[in-house]
Amino acid sequence: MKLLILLLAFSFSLAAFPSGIAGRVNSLEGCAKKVMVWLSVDEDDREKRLLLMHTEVPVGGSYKFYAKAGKYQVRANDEKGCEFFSKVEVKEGEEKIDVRMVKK
Amino acid sequence: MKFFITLSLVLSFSSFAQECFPPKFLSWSTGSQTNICTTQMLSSDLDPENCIPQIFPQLQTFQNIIEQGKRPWWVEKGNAHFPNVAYPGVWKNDQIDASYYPGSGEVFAAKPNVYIQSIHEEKKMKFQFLGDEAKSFLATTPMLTERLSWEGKIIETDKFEIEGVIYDYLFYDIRLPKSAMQFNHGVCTTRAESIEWMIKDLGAMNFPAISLSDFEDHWRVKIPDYPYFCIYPQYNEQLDPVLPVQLGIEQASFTRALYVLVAYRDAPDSSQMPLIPFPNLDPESIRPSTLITRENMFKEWGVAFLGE
Repeated sequence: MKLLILLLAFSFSLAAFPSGIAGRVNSLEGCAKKVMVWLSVDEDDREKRLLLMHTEVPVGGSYKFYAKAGKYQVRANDEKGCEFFSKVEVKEGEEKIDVRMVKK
Repeated sequence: MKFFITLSLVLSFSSFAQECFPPKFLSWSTGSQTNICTTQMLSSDLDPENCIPQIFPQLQTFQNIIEQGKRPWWVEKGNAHFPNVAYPGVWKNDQIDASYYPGSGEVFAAKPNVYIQSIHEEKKMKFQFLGDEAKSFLATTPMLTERLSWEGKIIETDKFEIEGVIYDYLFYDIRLPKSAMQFNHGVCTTRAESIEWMIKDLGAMNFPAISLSDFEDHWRVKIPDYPYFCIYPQYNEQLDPVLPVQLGIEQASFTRALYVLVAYRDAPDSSQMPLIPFPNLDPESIRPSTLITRENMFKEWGVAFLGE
């Protein structure tokens, strides 16, 4: 019985925090003050790398992408040529990806 | 005298509610600047730059954006990484491919942006999504709190400060049920004219200039390159019941506009069997009035596409 209650509580807590990717955006000097953060499927081939959504975030700000379980790529670009790239696997709950922009 | 009274009555009547009786539907063009009842949009109404899209015409769309010379900085970066930057999301069979996204709801509301027009240089505020039903958010900036709210301050009369960071606007993507939307009021028009029509509509609700500029920059890129669209505007009357919002600030108003776009490869023709009935009622008749001004006016625009 206890186990059932625990399982129910666990599933409710998962429902309260939908799966996805969230984080903050930081950048170094010389980068722009606004950043475009992109979420795509995890593919090496550009033609198969479908863009799911994107959001413009001011430096210091936060974002969240709600996503199904699966493998994704998080990229970021700004107007001054700074970039960020990370791969992430979403399972249950929220994956934290802080975007750190660097000059390329 | 009688003639002028009659003329003014006729003119004032024609600028009010307009209804087409099926099979006719409402179309709009830049040339006429008014809604016209028709059974078929003429192909000559087509924008010269539009072509019938291929299965996934990303290259063609990108070329059009380049040629038009109007592109935000992120378009080129996005196009270098992804094949579908000129689409509102993953696109299949003239719609959003819902299989890539979590949650439920056939209407994919992309980028509702919330702007503020205030008289205050600094004022505490809270913007909270309400309702018992689970929400199918797809993205937000900034992150929502656990109470599904953004809490911070209005600053400099037209910006938000959340956790010490300044945002020009608050942003979310969400899925909504099709059953909550209206599909009678609207217009059918070409792609370029659809953008013009929506900006004109937002202007009529006194959206701030920066929001109109953001709208044009974003949607000139993200509306797929189909020659024709039918636009079904959803305003407070449709959106408040399905996605209620509470503004934690006194003397506030909230004006909402979400344009559901349905893409067509061929000129809308009443002899076709469209996925969604062509609009036959005047959209202006359901547009919220913004005549009364408040100290803090929140305004939200968004564009939505159907998904399967």
